[in-house]
Amino acid sequence: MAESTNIPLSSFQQWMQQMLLDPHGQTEVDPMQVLPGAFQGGGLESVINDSKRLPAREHLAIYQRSYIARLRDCMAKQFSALEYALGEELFCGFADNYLELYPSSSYNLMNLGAHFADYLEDTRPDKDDPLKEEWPDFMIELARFEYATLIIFEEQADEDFVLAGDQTPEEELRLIPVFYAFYFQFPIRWFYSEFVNGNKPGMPYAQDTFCAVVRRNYKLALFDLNPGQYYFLNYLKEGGSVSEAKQLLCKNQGFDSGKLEEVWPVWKEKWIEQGFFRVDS
Amino acid sequence: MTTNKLNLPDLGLGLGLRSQHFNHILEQQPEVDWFEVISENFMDSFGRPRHVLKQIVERYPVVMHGVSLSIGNTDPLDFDYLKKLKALADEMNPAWVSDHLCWTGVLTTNSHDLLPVPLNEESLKHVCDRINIVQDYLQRPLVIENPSTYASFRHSTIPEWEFLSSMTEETDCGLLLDVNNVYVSSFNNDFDPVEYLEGIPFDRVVQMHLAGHQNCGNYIIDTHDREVTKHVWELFRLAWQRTGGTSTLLEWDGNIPAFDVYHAELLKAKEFMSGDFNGIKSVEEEDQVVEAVSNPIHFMVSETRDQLEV
Ligand SMILES: [Fe+2]
Repeated sequence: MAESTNIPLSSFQQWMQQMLLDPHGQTEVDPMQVLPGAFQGGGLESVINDSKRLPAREHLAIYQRSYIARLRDCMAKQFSALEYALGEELFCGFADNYLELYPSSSYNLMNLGAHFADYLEDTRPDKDDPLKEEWPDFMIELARFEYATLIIFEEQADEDFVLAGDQTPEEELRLIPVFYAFYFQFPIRWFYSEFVNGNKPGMPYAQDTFCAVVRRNYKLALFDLNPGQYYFLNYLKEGGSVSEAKQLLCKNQGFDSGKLEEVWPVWKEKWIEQGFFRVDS
Repeated sequence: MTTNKLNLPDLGLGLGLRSQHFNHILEQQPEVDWFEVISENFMDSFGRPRHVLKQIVERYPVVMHGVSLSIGNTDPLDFDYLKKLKALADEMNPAWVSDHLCWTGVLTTNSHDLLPVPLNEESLKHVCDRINIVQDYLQRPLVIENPSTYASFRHSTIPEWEFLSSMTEETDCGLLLDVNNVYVSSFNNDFDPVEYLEGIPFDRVVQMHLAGHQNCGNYIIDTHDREVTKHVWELFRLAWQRTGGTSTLLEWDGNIPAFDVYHAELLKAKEFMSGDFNGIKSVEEEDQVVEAVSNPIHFMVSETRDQLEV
């Protein structure tokens, strides 16, 4: 029977892939179904050879173990702060479940974790409860931020700009090309930095926080912001000039214009030093 | 100097470009003959990795080595992928572009593994047709590597060396002979690695790979995480003689050591090339019990954090 029967390449590939994606046969799909009739009712031994040292099943098992281990490892690399925050075991459970629901469809492993934060949101244990626990919010926010840093690091942008200095006229100040201002419900910047610095931060309490992520000379840097600064910088990011951003901050956020004139020189000096600004050319 | 039919140059002894070594290479400009880069790590990168690569191609010859072409796949060829691969090749001007005899996933799923192709007339025709399309599209020869395999199939009818030989004849593509993969596959699938080498058309070999592997007792995993073993050096010596000299690269993807340690392991190849291998210290096979992952992911991610000011 199966001995002399060929398997079309496409059927074989569908069969093997199903054996990798569902090694324990937990889904409804019977992988043997895609093989020719002579294989129905047969086992994987009708496809894979035994060898001197290993039965066919063990040969396939090498691929099955490697498939999940490789992708788990990649998820842990993309979300290392989250893995620390959740603990290895819980993270691994989430990652495995995510990979089952969202098997990779990109040639680029960079995209593997693209939907992970959404997945965590969709599957949070208290999704339908009116009263939500805090920790899932924190984990989701951390996941989103960690993935965002990966994307920002690789983003296509002009890096040949002239950084502004003390003498740059105010109307020529523009944000550098790779600049993002984030709002969080938790001290995500603090937690992430502590983790990256090799400290062991505990899960923080909820607290509105704001931070800037900038890329200069292909390296990222993070800075804390206050709410006024966050809105102001976002107005600048939308393309406005300093005076336009000032107007919008007062008009839309109710920021007191007198107070703004007081703090602006301090902001400006600090941000020029931190390299937020380039010279408009 | 060139000894292959494709007229591709012998670049000498090269190393895989790893992000851990970026700064060392840029600052020290070490005397390495050439570098091999994983295409997928740069195709969509417009940040530091690509910026570093641009500086490296100014100083060193570079070869692009891919893991996602999926030449044996029955899904249609991914022209979005090919377009980006071609764009990177046009920008970096590599000595050649290579990938593996494998498939990576069907029905739009990607397993990110180098999965084995059953070797028979159908798959040979399928692979050759696709190599021809890719070569036409890229406007350059493709170089195909023998992968490490962990299974063989009842409906395979052609030994791998014969498959590779017919494939190069049909398509004029080049071969990247990974002697570590020959050893790993031969151990896992009961064939004689020397017979394998006897069947290889050496005038098509434009490059060789060396790497370390992990012996798990009754099977071997291609981990690229340690020194090259004695058996693999021996196969390298045999293959080297047959090629008459060809570009040779040491792969190292897990537990990546300091640059100098990596380079020193590569330079051991010189002793085997000259035949004076009795004095050299090479590691014996050792059984390991720790479970390893086949075909390491070659994926760079940690750099984002290494390059972070926090
Ligand atoms: Fe290789």
